[in-house]
Amino acid sequence: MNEIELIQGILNGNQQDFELLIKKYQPNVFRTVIGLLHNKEDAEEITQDVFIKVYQSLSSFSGKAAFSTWLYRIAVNASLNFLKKRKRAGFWVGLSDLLQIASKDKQAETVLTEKSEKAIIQKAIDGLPEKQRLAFVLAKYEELPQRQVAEILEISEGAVEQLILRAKNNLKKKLGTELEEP
Amino acid sequence: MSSEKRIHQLIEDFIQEERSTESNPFLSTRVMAAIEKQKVVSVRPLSPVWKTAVIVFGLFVAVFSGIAAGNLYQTKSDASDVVLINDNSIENFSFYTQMGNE
Repeated sequence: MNEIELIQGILNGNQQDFELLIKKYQPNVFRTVIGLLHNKEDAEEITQDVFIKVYQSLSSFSGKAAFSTWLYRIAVNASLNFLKKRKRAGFWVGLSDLLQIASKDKQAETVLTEKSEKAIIQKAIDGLPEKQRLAFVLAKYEELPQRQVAEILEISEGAVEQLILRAKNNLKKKLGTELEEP
Repeated sequence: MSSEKRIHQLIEDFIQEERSTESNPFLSTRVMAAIEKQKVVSVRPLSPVWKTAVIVFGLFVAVFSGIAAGNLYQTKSDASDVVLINDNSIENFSFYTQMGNE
């Protein structure tokens, strides 16, 4: 059964078709979301929200772009919204942390975590400008062709190429100073 | 290994590790359950136009029922009541005049 038949089936009220659609695209959505959030639990929650949103707004899918492009757009927007909410919440958490006297053990643990290579790489990816980060994640985590990344981000293919190149250079610069061999 | 190659390898390893994270195999069940739950709970919300119309209609009803209630009230002005209020009709003046005559 192809995409169009699946969508038509879902619009006709066939829930089994929607379950098939979820199973087909779940790994793609999950990989994209985890590439932006770097947390399994959060990524599962957002992936679930993405499919609920897809179910609710499937009737508005015009078919101008490929279904997967439309789905990736929803996943990217949901992840960015989640990050914005977390940033807002993080401000208050940070403020309350400042007011608390942290124990020495906790401080030492934080220093160790921050110094780990994975944390440094994650921080470097998260620190990229938004468009660069999106292009990088879609190209590297999902291994999408530049044409589809361009369609998802609604920019030209040339712009995608530039964004990925800049993202790689920025990562090398950032990590070069932080992961320098002794 | 040169620094640039090492950084490239570290980034690739990081991406591969995150890519290999398995998502919940029961996600489709969870999504279907969440959709069913929403169907039961969700009450179709009023559109903003209808909300405004209902508020305006409510205000009109309140104002006009207030005016109608005000118009229904009538003050009583029967002559008998006026007589009752007049002290002269109940005051026994003859008593005072009789006292004065004593």
